[in-house]
Amino acid sequence: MTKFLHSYRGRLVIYSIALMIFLSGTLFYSYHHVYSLIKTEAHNHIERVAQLSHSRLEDIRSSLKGYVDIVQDDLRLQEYMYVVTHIGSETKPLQELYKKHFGWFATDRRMIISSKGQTLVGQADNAFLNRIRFLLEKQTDNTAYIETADGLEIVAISPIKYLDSTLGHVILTKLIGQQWLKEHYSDSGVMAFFEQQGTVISSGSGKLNGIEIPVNNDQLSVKDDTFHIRRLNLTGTTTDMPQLWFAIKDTALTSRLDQHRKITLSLIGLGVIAVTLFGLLLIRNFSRPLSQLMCLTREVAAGRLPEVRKTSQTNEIAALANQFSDMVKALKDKQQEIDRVHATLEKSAITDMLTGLYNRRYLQVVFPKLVAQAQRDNNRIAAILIDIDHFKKINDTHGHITGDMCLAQFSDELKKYSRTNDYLFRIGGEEFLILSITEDINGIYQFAEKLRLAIEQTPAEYIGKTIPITISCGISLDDPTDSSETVITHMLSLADKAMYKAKEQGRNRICIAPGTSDTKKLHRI
Amino acid sequence: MYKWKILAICVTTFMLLAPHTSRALNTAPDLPDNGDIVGAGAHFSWIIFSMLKPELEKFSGRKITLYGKNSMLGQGCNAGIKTAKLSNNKRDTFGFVCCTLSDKEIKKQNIRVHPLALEPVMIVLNKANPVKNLSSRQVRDIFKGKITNWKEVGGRDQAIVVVTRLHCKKRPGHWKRILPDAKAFRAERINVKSANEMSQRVSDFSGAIGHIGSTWIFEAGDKTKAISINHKRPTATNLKNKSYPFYRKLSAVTSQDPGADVLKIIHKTQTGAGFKKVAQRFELLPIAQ
Repeated sequence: MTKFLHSYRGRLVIYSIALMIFLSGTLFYSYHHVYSLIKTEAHNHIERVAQLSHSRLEDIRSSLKGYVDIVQDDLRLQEYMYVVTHIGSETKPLQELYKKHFGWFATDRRMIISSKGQTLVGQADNAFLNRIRFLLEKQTDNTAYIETADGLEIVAISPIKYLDSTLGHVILTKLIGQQWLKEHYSDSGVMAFFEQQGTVISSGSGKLNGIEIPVNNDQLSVKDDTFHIRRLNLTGTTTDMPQLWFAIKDTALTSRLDQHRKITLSLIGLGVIAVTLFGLLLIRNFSRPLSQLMCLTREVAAGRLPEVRKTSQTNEIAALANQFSDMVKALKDKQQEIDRVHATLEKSAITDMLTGLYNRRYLQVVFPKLVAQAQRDNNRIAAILIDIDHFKKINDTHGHITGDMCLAQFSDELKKYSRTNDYLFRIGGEEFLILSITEDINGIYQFAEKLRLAIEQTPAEYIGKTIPITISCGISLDDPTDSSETVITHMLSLADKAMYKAKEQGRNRICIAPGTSDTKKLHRI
Repeated sequence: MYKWKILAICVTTFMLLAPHTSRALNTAPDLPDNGDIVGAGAHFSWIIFSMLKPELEKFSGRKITLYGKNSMLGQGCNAGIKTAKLSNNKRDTFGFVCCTLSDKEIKKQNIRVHPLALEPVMIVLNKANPVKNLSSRQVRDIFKGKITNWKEVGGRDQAIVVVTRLHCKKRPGHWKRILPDAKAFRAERINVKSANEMSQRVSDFSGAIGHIGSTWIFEAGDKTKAISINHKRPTATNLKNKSYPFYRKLSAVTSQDPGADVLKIIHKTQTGAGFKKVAQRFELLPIAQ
């Protein structure tokens, strides 16, 4: 897990999660901020609507008041009303005069009633007239709200006087009913409705009809919609009258916000996935060559120098891989050079430079292996110790260079006649040793004899000089019962004694160390 | 002591307001000071001079400016008298009135009256009213309020709406030939301020009855009609033979010493051929002729 977290993939996952958390957090904050704003603005908006509506209704009320004042002050209308009420003339002139002079008034109901209650202009049902009579009896102000079947009516009343007597009253009204609710607020997102005794009795759209208004609450829930509501306190209304309310629904905005949130969340998810995939792709693009480089590095660290192919790509990772390839190639070349030097050094360490045969140092190295091999094969190790006869005389007669050349040519002959399992050593100036694993001392002797004859018959030649060479050989076998490290010393000592015996017996001959010659078949005990 | 204080306050208030009130009610128009002969006054006399104006200007060689259409600019008889009195050496003015002026008023105002014609005062009803004739007694009873329904005089069962224009109350003649005193008129009536309003009211109420001079030019939409009195139409002929009872005197008024051109045009008006045509058109009975 820790390894994963420290990898680029792990970090990418962490970064992606962090990005998702950050974006989601930002979205969450924005959503709640906007949600809060919508709620607040809806609340403020309904307050403004209420104020504006109150102002509009006051304007209507003021206009009605102005209208009745105009009617009240019209002398001709006073006259006509006098004619109607006191002379008993027909009302048509009065109605036509009203229509001609005041027909432009923006009113829903216009009435002139006499002091006796006779309707001179306009029409009204008894319920309305009763309310007007009630107002005339109680009302001090000349405007008021009255409840009608369609809602509320703003009423302005003014007496019409002529010659110091009150002839009747002019009554102008403006209906605040269903149509008014629709006309004023259906398009602005605000709904207006009338509530009476806690229940909506009429609303602009009709949707809220019959809904109960919660007490002391400025929100109204209808199915899935939540409305911010505000009651308008109309001057002159009583609690038993329909109350005008305004409602604004924020569901549309909040649902759009939710939809926006879902879309944004989806976009964030897609974005994070895209970023992750892109990151993985990016990581894959440089992770694979990095992994290959790491493997190569491990190989190099382990001492292996694998073949690294160059790439034709031009990015930074490819450049690094190519440089690494160059480095490995250089290392490989250097390693080969080292191997060559090492082989040379190793060879020179165990080889006599003049003759190319193994030296005494290598004898110490190879002898234990021969012992192990002989033990494994149940054979014996035979040692043929060779000394060139009268070699000091050759040096003295022909010089040391010629002597060296004689040694070299002798070694070549030795190599020429030796067998594959023979180890050839130069262990002294003109002393040579052949170690061989054998099971037959006669075979060794015959080999030595063959070698002696060949040397005898092949004189050395150097700068036109022919120098005859003979050798004296002593043969010995190892002691299979001796497992000590001195077995070679003992064997060489025996061969040396046999070789000196051959010297003593006239040179150019072979002697077998005592205790070895009668053994036909050599077996380890 | 307390009463004296109140009296002092009332007198002071009256002195402060009187000039304005007087000017508001009786002011003559602001007369141009450009050498024109200026005439102003009652509408009904204004019509005569207005129709003769081109002839009079040609006759006098002076330009004549007249105020009096609908009595709106001329402000009526009082304005006529005031305009007449404005005449001096530099300005020639005259006025026209639709009432008979008493000798007392003539003397007080120090003016001269130049009678022009007698004008029938028509008794007008709404055209919808089937009544075409009334006796002078019936007219007087209606205006008194003794008769309040048209069925009493052969009309429909309909309330009578009395419309009066009781102007120039201190002067004799005119509406006083119907009833001599304003108090004699029915209390429940409409009293209008102008002939135009008279025409409107009678047009508006089908049961209305009013009175208006014959020189009034009714508008096309007016629904009024003049009825016969004692089966006599309001004509110059019936005035001449004294069979039509209601009339008034139209006059021009000047200062005691008006300009010669003013006297010339008044005389021309009183005696000229043009005036005959005007009189025929409006059923006026010229006095000087």
